[in-house]
Amino acid sequence: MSMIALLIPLSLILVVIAVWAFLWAVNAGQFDDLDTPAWDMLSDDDSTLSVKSESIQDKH
Amino acid sequence: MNAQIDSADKIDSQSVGEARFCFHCNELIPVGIKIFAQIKQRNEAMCCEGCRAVAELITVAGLQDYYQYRSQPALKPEQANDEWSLYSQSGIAKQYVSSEYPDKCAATILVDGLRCAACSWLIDRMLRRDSNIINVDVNVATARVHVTWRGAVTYFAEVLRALSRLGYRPHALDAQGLQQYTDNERRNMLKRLGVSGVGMMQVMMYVLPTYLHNDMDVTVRHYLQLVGLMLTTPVLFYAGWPFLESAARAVRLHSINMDVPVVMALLLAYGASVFNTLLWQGETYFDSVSMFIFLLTLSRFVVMTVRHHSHSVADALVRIQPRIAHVMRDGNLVDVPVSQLLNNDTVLVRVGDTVPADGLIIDGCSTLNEQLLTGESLPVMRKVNSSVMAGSINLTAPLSIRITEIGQRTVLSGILALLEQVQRDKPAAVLLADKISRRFLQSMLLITVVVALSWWWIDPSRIFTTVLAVLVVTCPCALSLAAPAVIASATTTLARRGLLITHADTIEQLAQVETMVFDKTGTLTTGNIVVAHITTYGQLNEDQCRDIAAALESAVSHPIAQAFSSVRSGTQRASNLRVVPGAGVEGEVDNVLYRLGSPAFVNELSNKPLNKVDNTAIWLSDQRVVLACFELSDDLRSDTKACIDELNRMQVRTVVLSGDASVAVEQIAQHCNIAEHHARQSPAAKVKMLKQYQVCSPVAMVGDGINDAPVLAAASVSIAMGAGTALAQASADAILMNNALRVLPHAIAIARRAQRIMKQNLCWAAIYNLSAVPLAATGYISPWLAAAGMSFSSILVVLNAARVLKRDRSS
Repeated sequence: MSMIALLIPLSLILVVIAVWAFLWAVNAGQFDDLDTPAWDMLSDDDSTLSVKSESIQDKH
Repeated sequence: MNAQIDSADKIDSQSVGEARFCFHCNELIPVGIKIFAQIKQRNEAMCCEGCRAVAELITVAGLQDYYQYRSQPALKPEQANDEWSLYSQSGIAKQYVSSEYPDKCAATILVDGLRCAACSWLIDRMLRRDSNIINVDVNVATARVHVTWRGAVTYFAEVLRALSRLGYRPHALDAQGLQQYTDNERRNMLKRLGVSGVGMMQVMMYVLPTYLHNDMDVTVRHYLQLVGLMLTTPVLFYAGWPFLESAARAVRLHSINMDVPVVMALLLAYGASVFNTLLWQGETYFDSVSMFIFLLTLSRFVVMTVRHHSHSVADALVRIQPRIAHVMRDGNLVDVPVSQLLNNDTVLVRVGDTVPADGLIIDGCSTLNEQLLTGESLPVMRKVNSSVMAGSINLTAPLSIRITEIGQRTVLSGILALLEQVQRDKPAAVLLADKISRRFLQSMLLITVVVALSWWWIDPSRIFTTVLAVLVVTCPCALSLAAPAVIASATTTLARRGLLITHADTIEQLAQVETMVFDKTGTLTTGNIVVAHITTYGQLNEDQCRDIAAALESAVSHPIAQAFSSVRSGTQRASNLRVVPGAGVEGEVDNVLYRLGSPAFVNELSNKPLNKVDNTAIWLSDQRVVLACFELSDDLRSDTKACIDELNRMQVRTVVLSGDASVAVEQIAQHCNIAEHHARQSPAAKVKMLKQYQVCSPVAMVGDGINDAPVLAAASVSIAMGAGTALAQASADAILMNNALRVLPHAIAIARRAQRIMKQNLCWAAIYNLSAVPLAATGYISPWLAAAGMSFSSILVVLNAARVLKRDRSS
């Protein structure tokens, strides 16, 4: 019982922190566009991408 | 065999055999086109020079990976038309650009053709190559690009130009209000969804042990219940707030909506649980409350996301209305916002511009595209003293217009007003659901009172637990989830197929559709003009005539000319070209003088009167004889016939209502086995006709133009083509994203299946509630069992709804 009495409030605090982080992320616009950021990584290294894409094309 | 069927057959055989599609825009390449662009060391076929220019631009910039990763074909680029220099005037650019810091400007641009994540990547990379541009923020979901740049406000023109060079159609946005509103709505909903999801999982975790261990220590049990209370309270009052608010509003207005019984059940279950927790006695239902709120929020979130995906009315208005007019004032040509135009102003309409207001032509002679307003697919000739309508596009020569009608009274505003009026008297299927839930709520309260009275008479000590069990059992959770859950999963399924549903009751209506009405131009056909049939009269054969005509038209930028340029294969060059607006073109090919154009114009040269006069045909002659007659029409979409056949097989009646000439409509109707066809219909006549069909059964209308908007709004289910005008899309219940008509029969089948599953759900929920009530009323069901039953029936309903998704995947 004493362990539960301690651990449950601790987990509740964690939940509050998680929810606060989530609300912050939504307010900061992190969830506004879920499609575009996946493509940002293609920007820095175009050469590796084109090698990869050609090998994909060959399989077809 | 007539012309239309010839061309349609050609397309059919192509799509079955070796159809060639443009690598860039994925449209069918007309026969005879040999344009290629080199992409990744391969020659890819293109359908036009516009596509090739864009594809080469992308390749030269090293961004050809766009083609590898895109999930939607690109928009076919419009003819190059540099309208952007307007925005390099600081007075005009200032309306759209915000410059909070000196030397740094920002603007939001609505981009047509921004369809998938690969587009956003392409735009981002391309714009950032410009060293003046500091930041590019592309949002695919809303088709908006936010650009920040260093330098003057007038650099805005360069940004727009860069986007249009990539084949997109940018529109400057000054109104940010609506966008902000949808952004906020989405964020709020997402926060509520997150909070209810986390809350639900936590409550489950703490409450489950109390179900599993009946011999649990009482202190621990109450401790866990108290934790449940702490977690459920924010879920109910934060995540469930929209439901509470909507129910409260309904009650204040002395009406009942679907949220009222939901909120009632939530508040009763929550109130009883709080009561029990604080008194250290009995059962709690925190898990049911939080799970129920989560499931409801989730289904509404899905519906909202799909709704935001489709275009809004504000977007539509941005696209159609010209924003700036060139006006003669005190002898000078000045650029004035359209809202400041006055009657009797003289306005210059350049080639490619939209006519800003209704007026009379006082100088010039040109062809205008009025398709958006009248549905007429071929451009119309307008001369001095003839009137022009706001919203039509000037195609061939500059015009001076004296404004006769402004703002409220223009034809365009008239169509908008008609649309609004029809939208208002749209039948709402929601009323029925409300009526049922109102009855349900009334009988539920009545039963509870009867039960309470009887137990007061039998055994007063058991009143509270029994009444609570009855209330929890009769909670219409499953009943209120039954429909939204199915609608959400059917909406997702259809969206995956390419049909975006924008209204919740569309699926229900679509399932009952027995008649499907189509517009012709742009819906059954692609809207591109092609040469359908050539009749030769002289000694030259078809190909020779075609080559001569193509050479003559090569200098003309006109939609009819494009019909020829697309079939151009010969190397012949025309010289001494002379374009006579409204009549035709004259020129020499291989030292022979030819004329191509209207019968009268051609007759002047050949002096041989033509008997047959057809508006949709143009003629070719040399100095002696008439050589050929070209019949023009627009192409059938490749899947039109398949779609109609399938609909006929499903015993859905098909009808064409078109503003076009009767011959063209009749030919298409015959070729595709369309049951009924009506030509030369004005928007008002179309609405009237549609209402006649609607007397017997719900009607689905498929259309694309502005002139279709009122008809779309009047139909039980309106479906707009994805390539159609934004206004048509704004008034539609559903948008066909890839213009793939063959999706329509599938959509009806899916809607019918969804309807069946919805009925099963409602049936199950009703059976559960009805059979459990007597048991609870007689005291056989304890409150915790009632709560478990409530959760179980809700889950069953949601799982059943998910079958719509699953079956689709397997098929």
